[in-house]
Amino acid sequence: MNISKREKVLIVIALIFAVFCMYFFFYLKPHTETMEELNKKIADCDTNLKASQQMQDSNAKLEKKISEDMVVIERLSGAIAKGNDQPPLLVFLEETVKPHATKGTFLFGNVTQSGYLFISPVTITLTGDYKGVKNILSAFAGEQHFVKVTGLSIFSDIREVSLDEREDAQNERSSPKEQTAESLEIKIDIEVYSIAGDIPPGTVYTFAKDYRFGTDIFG
Amino acid sequence: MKNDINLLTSRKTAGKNDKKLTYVLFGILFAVTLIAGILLPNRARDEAELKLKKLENSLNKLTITEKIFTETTTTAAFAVNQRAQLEALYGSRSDILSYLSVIERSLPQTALLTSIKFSDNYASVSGIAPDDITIAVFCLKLRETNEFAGVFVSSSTLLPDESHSMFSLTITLHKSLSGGAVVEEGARGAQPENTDSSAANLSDSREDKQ
Repeated sequence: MNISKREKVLIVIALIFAVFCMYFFFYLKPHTETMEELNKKIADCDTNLKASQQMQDSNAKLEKKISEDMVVIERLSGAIAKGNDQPPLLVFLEETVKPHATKGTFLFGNVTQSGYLFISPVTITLTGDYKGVKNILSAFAGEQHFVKVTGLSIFSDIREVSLDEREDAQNERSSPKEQTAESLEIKIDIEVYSIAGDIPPGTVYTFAKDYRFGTDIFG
Repeated sequence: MKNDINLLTSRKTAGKNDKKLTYVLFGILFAVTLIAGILLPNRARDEAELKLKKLENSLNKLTITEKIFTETTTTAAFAVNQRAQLEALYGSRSDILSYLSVIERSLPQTALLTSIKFSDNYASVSGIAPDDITIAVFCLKLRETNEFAGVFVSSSTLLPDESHSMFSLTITLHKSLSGGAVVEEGARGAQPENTDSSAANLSDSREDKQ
């Protein structure tokens, strides 16, 4: 078969075009699509990685802050009982007041919750002397229970007679303040704080030992 | 015509050789283009796959998840709140003993108290004194301590036998017993520059009256 030079050139061009088309449609186009997909995945992955790294950094900072806060919380809540446990509180009040004054009443108010703290208001009425009051207030500032004194009233019946006695005493002694009223009427309003929640299981109540139970209840 | 001399023979041969060379070069160029067209995209894909794998590995190495982060955030918020409450609680605790001690130190020995009442950010103090100067000295001494936001003489009543005066003071505390600060530093009344001289002046004025 004789083909002219021009036809040969056309056939070659057609062949080259066919090869290019095959290359484009069967190789380059699918490859481009794959690359686009890969690049999208890379971009997503990169964004996720950056976000996760940022999250991890923030998490590390937060964990550090939490541990710092927990140290402070542990220190501050050391003196605060867990759960609203009234029996030991009653014993604490009794043991605090008894050596220093004559107990009148412990009047317990309704327990309220503020944030994660229980507040137990108690009004204490006593009779005693000024030194006793100071000792009781000093004991309330201790660390056995967190007690906040919200009110204090001290009343004395001493009037002119006592003042005269004091003036006499001042003439005789250098320290007339030692002569204080023996019978003051005292009212102390306190708030006892405890951490909201249940009483820790296994709490030992040492004051509840050596009691016998089960008898005629009106006996 | 038969005897014509072809002078272009060598040139024709050279033209054929050039053509062959062109074809070869064109073939090489085509082959190189084809190979490059296949190899370069392949290489780019391999590199992209490798990069993706590395990123995925780095991502897998990070143990943090959104759930963990949310939990940490919640815990942190709870801890901050708890700490703030405890610090506020400790900050709001007034040292009532120190108030008593200040009153004790400020009371002239010729006077005595019949009642003290602390409530919120006030303290009411009642007592008996031989005269108003003693009450004034007590008042000045209390003010001088700077422990209180204000000291106010509510009343001074001469007893029926005219021997002593009953007095009543209202003391304003800096901090409420049940809560935070209620009186700012600047809200305090003018302080006497010299308490002793103020007391002396009071004494003089009383003598003048007598």
